[in-house]
Amino acid sequence: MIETIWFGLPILVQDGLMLAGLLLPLVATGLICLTGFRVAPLVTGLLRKHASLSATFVFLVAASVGISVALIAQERGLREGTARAADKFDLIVAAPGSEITALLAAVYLQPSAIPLLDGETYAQLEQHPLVDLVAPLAFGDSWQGVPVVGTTPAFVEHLSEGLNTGRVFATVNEAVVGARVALNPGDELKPSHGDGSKGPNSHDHTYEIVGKMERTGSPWDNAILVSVESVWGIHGMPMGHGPDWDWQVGGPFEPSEFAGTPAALVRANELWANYSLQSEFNTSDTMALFPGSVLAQLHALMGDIRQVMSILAVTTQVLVAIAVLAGLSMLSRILAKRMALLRALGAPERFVFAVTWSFAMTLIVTGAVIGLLLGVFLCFGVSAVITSMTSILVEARLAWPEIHLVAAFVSAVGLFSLLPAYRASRRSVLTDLRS
Amino acid sequence: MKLVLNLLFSLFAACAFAGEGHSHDDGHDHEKPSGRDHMATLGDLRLLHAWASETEDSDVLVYVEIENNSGRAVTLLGAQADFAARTELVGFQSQGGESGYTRLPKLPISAGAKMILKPKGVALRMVGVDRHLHEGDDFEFTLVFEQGEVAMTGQVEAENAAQHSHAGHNH
Amino acid sequence: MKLRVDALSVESPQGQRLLRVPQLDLATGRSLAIRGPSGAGKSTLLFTLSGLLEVTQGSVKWGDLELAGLSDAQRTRFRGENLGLVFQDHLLFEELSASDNAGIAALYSRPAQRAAITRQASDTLSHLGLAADIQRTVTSYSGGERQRIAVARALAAQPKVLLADEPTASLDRKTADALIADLLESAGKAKRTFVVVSHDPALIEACDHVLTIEDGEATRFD
Repeated sequence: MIETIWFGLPILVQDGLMLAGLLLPLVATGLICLTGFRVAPLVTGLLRKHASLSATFVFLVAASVGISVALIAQERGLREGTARAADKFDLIVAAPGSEITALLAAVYLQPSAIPLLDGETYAQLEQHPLVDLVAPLAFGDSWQGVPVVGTTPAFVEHLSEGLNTGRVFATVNEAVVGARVALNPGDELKPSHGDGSKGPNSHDHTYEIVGKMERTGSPWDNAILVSVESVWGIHGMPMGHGPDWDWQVGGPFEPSEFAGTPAALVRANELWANYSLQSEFNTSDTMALFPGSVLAQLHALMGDIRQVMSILAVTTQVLVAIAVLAGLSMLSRILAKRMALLRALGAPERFVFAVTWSFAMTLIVTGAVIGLLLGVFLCFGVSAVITSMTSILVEARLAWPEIHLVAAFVSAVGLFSLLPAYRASRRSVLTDLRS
Repeated sequence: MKLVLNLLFSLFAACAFAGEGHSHDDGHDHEKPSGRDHMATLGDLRLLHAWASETEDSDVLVYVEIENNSGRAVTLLGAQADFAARTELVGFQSQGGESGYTRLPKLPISAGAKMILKPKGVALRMVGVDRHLHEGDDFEFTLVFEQGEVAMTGQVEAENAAQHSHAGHNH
Repeated sequence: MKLRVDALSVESPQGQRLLRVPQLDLATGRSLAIRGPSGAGKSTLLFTLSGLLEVTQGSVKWGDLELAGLSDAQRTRFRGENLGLVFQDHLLFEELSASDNAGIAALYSRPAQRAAITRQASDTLSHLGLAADIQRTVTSYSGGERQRIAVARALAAQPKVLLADEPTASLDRKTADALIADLLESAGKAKRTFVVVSHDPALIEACDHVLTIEDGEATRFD
């Protein structure tokens, strides 16, 4: 019954209630400790008096919180970024082999030597009633380390959904570049064979850039797209069309003139049609895979790693909390004379308890808040670095899981802080006064 | 001595007989006295290895292998089960960094094709299950095709199972 | 508030006798100076009268309230409600201002009393010549000024009893005389019972009664 009600609530409400629940012990403790007292002037004074010690505690807490939440948020950002990069790739059809190799090659442009899909299979895809879009993805060449991929104009329009500048290539001498390639319409390039790592090996063919794609948040932002016909032609292979070809690039292709492609992107209008196509083309002769599903399986495999990271994050925070509490126990000795004076003047034990606990909580809460802000900055920074290194748009942002983690941490440490506060209120007044 | 040898030989034969239970192609009745049936047929449609993971959730994902050995396309519409309020045909989808199972209205399986319902792929979602499924349990359900219905028995595998425990076995 | 002490004995936790006072009576509004050589037990008596030290045997009664047998919390409450304490080293909160120090009781008193305590603290500081810039932290004040802040703190809650431990010890003669005058004037005006431990002849002379403590024994009461 409770489960039904809970899962019926909007997610935002669930998250808010969970946050409230996690902070409730802390708030309740605070109310019980502080009701009837004004601790602020004393706590502020103590913070000023012990400024460097306080700053050290705050820094410790902030660093541990910041690193922990950034770690967890970054892992999620990476997972979501890699998944988003695969959004445009509904179904990939390739020659039989490793799904992960095909995924890395077709979606993330990490090509390796994989067998080619033949013209007959490609023609079946072109003619299939359920197929809305099919495009070859012929990689293998590069320009200054940037992959040059042979495909069709339809694929460019599908990937970019309108160009940032210029137009899609229409001839074998034209190319379109990704948003992060340092080329613009009007520039020219000569591709090299392979990924360029074995030294210059230029083909004798020049492309003119005619368009630049919109940002896709994927490695395709760092790619150069050309007609597949030109890639075949450069390598001395049949160019996909019969003798009556009018040199207009794009499908349909003549199966007997189709030189082969490592992979093809396939798209159906409906999800069910994609699954139907996948089962039809997943045979001993061809392999059909959903990048989203393969990625989800990879992410599930990494689920254990994620758990370890979460445990590490929590352990870090617990260790810092222990260090802070140990420090507070020492601090209660430093504060002993002041607390003894208060009791000598007639302040109740609960006031001394309240002052000590409030002082500890001020340090912890300040550290946690700064830590959250630090986590936000770390996320921005690390995401920017990963994006620039991989071209995969990673946007790690703090979300409810991190906020819940910090709330739980603050609450737990707040409750543990009751012990040094209690011990501070039970010390011998005269001994401390005379010390 | 001869009696002992005969006894030993009989024992060996009995063990061999039990170990080769999988290679019988008329189901597993004699292998599993409880009557588990890993395979069902509907004409030239062969359905194998229906399974689900152990769970305490009220929604359960059921998977099965479908071999269309007929000469024409068939269409899977969904399923029915007494222990669930309703059953949906669902497919895994990842979009915008978010992923989950989306309802599918139907699933055509072309002639000669093999459709494997599996985690992070296509599945039958049993909604509002009225009992917890424990590893080792069986469950009965009916697959619904445009071309007809077929009852079969599924097996509950471990909570973190990725496939049927007999997956890959050619019956 | 009158004071009555009967057969008082105070021992250390190890059982060592620290103080014996057979009898002591002090009427409401009167002043008592406690004198004797160093280590005689003067401060021990003062702390016992304030409830900071537990009575081992005998009786210490302030008005109708018997201190002997009270718990630590009860004695603390008694101090807060009835006593003002001035320590030898003034013992102020260095990080707080003069007005915050003087009005410190407002932080833990009942809300209804807070305004009165703060006002009284401010008035007493003014009366003691510390009106100007009382928001400065006390580290910037002289020894004499700090002792006056401590006196203002002791008087802020308008206690019935004022206890002081060597209040003029670290002051020059002129400052000490001024402080003695202030203390006695405030005690007299409010009919406040005043007990002070002191070596200062001028302060001893100015009190109504003198109790001599020698070697842990109250030997003479004048």
